[in-house]
Amino acid sequence: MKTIKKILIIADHMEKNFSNFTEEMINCAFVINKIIPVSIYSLLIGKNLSEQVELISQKGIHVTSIELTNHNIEANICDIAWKLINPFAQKLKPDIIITGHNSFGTALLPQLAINMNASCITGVKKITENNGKLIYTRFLYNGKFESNVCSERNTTAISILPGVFTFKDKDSNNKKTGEIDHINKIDKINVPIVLKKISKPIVSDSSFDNADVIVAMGQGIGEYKNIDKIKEFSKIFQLSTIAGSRPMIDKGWLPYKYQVGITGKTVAPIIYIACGISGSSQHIAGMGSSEYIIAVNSDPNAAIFNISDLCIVDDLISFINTVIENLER
Amino acid sequence: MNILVCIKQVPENIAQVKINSKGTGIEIHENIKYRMNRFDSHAVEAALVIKENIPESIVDVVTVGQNSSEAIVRRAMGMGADNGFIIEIESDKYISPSTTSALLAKMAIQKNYNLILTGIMSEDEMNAQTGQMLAERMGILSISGVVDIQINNSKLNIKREREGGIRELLEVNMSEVRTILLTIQAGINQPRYPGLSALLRAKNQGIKIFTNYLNTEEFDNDQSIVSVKKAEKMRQGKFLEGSIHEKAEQFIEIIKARNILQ
Repeated sequence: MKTIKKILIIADHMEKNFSNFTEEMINCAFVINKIIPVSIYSLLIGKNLSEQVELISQKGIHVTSIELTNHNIEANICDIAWKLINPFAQKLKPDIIITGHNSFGTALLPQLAINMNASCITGVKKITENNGKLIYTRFLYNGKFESNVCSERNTTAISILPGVFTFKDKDSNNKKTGEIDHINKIDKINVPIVLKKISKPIVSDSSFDNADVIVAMGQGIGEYKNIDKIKEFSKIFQLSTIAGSRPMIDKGWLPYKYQVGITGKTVAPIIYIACGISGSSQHIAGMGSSEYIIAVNSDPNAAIFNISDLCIVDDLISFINTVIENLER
Repeated sequence: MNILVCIKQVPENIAQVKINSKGTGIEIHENIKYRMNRFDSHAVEAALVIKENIPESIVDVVTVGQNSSEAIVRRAMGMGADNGFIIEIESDKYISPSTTSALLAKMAIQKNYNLILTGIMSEDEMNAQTGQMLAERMGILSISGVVDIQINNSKLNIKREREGGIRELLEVNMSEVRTILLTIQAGINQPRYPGLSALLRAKNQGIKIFTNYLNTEEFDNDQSIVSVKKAEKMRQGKFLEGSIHEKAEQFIEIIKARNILQ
């Protein structure tokens, strides 16, 4: 007889309201439930959680919420949560733990996996089945390849990529609401890592937000001076702007306000032209909903082509020069 | 301050990387060139900056890998690291971050490090696990995604990157903490190039190689790779054919049809 497995969802804490990412984790648990029977538990830590608790419970999921009464809203949530999650998980003994593959989830999942003697599989984008075993699919090499991985432990801790478990599951019309355990944590939780300040970047830029065409550049542009070539290229389009993938900003070649991706901006222009961008999942998370995606890259197997509508394999700068020359004629 | 930096080699050019004939992993052919994982070179640079500011600091670098990993250890020493270590694994079998961290812990626990730095993840496997697993195995604190490190007396001030460019300024009192591990995010610094004289010195300096570290118990990977394949297509892109002129012409036709040219 098949035993019911336990799934623990560690809900996302970045947003104050119900996070889409938490919903994606719930969808992921439903995907697993189609393969093996599971009961789903979730843990929420933070402030003013009642609305979120209600929404999760309505999906038939058991919710434990730990309200941090005496912490301000901008508490050092990563480290405080770790202190609470670890004992909770040890007690619940889940078979599968799900977090988001973002700064919160990845800040605690590897440690939790070691503590629980769990297999740790990060950046999961798909879950399938093979001979009754769950197979987790994740990217390698900046999204160029993907590997199918299986757990070799009784407990498995996974983090899911944002934006992949986005579908609404039809089988989840569960009328039963999940049980709710509400814990009021009145004591202040002391952690040796003290949060002094949170800074948010000033990124508002109307030319960027209103652009119909975004011409984005990545490491494939080669030399610094080629930025001018990309700028010149962008000017052939109406309402256009340039942008960059993370390495451009890390190198100091472009200011932060131009960064597209999970740690930068999320954009969805009419046309997105990726110039010399390899197409990591972090970048795709920031531009994958663009209406029409064009990629120019010298590597025919670059991951960016997997999300592109129009693919041009050629030397980037020669291609741009040829386009500009042709237009001038 | 005693600092350990954990580094890893990755293929120099992703375009040359291919899947093996069985579809179970990445093919390692003989003439493939390797370089230091980008995030790890930021970690080495961060350690060297601390060494420059705090007298009598020692920077050690360690890698888990086959003997071909020597080049990146020498490069780190050429950048200015004091000592290099290789935890040698003979086999080219897959080892998971859990196993790698067990090997690193075995080495690191023998020494008195105040600070351990790793890259946030490797560019090839992208697990983002090894650093924090090492910290947990050693029972020490860790902070992931670090984009700035400042040390003032016994205060360690760290900037941790969160989503959307949000940064948390964190403070740790080092007099209360034996050792701390930081996983380094890109953008923290610009790694220096190795100096010629330092590279020559590194060439003559010994690298300590730990062999037989990997006993059967530790080789018990927490996961196994069933298969590796090209990533799935999310859009069925049309590839333009022909000469560069023909491609440019087709490109212009397509964007003209969309009415977005100036």
